[in-house]
Amino acid sequence: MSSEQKLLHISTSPHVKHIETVPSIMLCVCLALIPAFAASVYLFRLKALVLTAVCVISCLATEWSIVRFLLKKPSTLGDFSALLTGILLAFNLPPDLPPWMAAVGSVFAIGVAKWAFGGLGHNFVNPALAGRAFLTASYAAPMTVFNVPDFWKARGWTISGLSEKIIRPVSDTLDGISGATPLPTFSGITEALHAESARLVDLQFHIIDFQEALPRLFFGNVGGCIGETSAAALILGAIFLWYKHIIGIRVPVLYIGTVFLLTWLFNGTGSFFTSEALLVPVYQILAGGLMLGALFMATDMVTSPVTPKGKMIFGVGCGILTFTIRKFGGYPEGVSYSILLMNLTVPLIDRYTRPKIYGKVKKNA
Amino acid sequence: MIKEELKRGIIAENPILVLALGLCPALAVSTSLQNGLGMGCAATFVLICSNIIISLIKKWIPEKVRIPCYIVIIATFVTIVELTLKAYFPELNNQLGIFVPLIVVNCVILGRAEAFASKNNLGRSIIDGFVMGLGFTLALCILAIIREVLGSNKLWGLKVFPGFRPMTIFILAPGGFFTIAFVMAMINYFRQKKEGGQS
Amino acid sequence: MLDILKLSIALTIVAIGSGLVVAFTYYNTGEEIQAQERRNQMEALEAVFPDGVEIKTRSGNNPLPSTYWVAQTDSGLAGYAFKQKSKGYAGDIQVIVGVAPSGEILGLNILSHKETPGLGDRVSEKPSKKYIWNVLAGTSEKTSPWFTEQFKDLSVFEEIKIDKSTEYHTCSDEKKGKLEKTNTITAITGATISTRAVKNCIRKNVPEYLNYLKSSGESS
Repeated sequence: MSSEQKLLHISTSPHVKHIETVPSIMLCVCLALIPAFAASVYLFRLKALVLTAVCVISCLATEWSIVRFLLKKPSTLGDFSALLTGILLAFNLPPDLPPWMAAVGSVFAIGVAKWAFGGLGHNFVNPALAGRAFLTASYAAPMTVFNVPDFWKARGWTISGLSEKIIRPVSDTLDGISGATPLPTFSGITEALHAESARLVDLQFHIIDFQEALPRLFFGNVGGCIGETSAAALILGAIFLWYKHIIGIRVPVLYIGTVFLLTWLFNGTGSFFTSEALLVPVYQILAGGLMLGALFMATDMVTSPVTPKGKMIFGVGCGILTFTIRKFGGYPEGVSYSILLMNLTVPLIDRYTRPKIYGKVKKNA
Repeated sequence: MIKEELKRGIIAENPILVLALGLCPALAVSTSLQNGLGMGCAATFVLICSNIIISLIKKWIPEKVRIPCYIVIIATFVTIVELTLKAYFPELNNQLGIFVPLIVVNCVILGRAEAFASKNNLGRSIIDGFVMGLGFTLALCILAIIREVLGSNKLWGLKVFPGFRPMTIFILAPGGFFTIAFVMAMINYFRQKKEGGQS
Repeated sequence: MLDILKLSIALTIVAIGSGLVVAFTYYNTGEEIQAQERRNQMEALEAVFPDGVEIKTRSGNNPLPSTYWVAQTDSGLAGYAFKQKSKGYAGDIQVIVGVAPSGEILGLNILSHKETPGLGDRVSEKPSKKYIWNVLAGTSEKTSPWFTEQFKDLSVFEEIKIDKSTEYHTCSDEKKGKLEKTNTITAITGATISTRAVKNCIRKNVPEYLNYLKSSGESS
């Protein structure tokens, strides 16, 4: 200790500090999620409010107790990262999930996915998504029941009402329609005719009226996780973040673009330029958790690559995985798993896309 | 001496939790206490028998072919266990399934044969096989109890807590990794605490 | 050269010794293992037929499966049993199903499956209200797998519908009667694929087998 005191104290670079700090970035992301939060409360009413509150409170409580009792260090609540994890996790949960399950997921997200690996900056997967994956594996049934928002229920829309309007049963030998997200219909279009195929989850119906379906998806009048339904609100928030230079444009655009391209190429209608063939990919990028995932989860600073080329690889990889899981997988939604899987490849991507050092001559030049 | 040996097998050199040997069967069969205990007993039997034979014939086995010889001996005992289970414990055999034949490649057994039985006399090899098998079985049981209670709210196939909703992930592979990680972390924590207290 | 010879001799001796021991064990357990397998097969068959029938093994030609079973009572033919499999969520689900010549399902037994624990593996779940504490106190309870039980008395000739709103073991008797009348089973919550796979095991081929057996006049 004494020898250290004698030394001149010089901090490592950068010596010029930007006003942008970890707490300010985290707060900005939280702010950017406000439109989506407002939309979710508007659509799902009290349920969204309760789930978000439970997630945020249990995330903060877990963070506080770990830092206070296990690490015995000053509180880290001030960097707002636990707050953000709580909000994002809540956005990834279906509205009818029992709140205590949300709390279990939050404890896992902060306790295992974040702090077991060393806390903010050391976690190798997105804690909120890890929490969601934990809940999906643990409580698969409640995690995959998506009901129509209360807002629309109050106006006489039920799942069956909705389905009569925009979804037409393919055959009459139906097992009944359950309220899945609009997503399963993608595989449904290609596979609906083989209604007995084992891969079919709840795919007995298929979308026929895109004019009715797309605006609903854009503004969030569909079943789904509480924060993912309204694409418009999410895009609004993302534009704010992009304007503040907190998220780059590469990951989200390439991610969504890849999904768009692949679903267009494999749209299942047998042609490429009919209106239906073009609407299938539009439908795919608006439905499910893609917007939320691509704009807010895949762009997480800690768990995405730092190099420009790496970001591109990351975005395209997420897109390919999402498409693969949606088209061939047993789960109705693949966004969370694709981002988690790509999170794991980040160290490798960063290592192989390290930019050339300026002024250094190539070995063989 | 027995006490020290027991301590070595169960705590200081626990095959799963400290040496991290044989993790594959540990993950695969620690989904219920019945399976864990069954697997532990089967592996212990093979471990003791192979240790006995190997320590007896170590002088006659040439250095260059010792590993194939050990594997043949281990495989023999595994086959005996497998046939016996099939004939007299069909329920357990159905549960353990593929993992009984896989005891052959369980590195705990080959590891002890190579590291201990081939260098020590009969008595010590038997004791080593016994304590190591005990450590393996106990570790499996600890993991299995945690995973079975959390993952299916059951213990020995019977429900435990009324109203508790089990977390399925704990009987899936990821839950197995989490459980092993946490048990290892606890062991390391207490060990460090103990060592820290002594110095 | 001598060295190689020595190595091969050592290895050969170990292998011969091991072979002898294994052969000895097999000799002593082989019969028991076969008996065990036969017992398992009989148990599975008895579970899908009513009590007090005589079960015979038959070998069939196309379109019939190579092995099937016939159950007879004193008053005549009671039913057939077929082994069937269908693709579940993870791997094949294998069942044995007993049907009366009229197409009425007598019983269903899941032989093997690889479904997800906690979800799809509930196809063979036995609902139990018994806790470990009850066992320590010494109370006993008889349970049976609810999922396969609900197939009993349904018809294989009609489409078996799936009701996702409830689970059979929680239904009232009135609801159970209604389900039976409409040829409906209840799904396992969150495991529609497994539910449908088991249903497919029965709907696939079994009606054709029965029709073939009827047309070939093999009713005795």
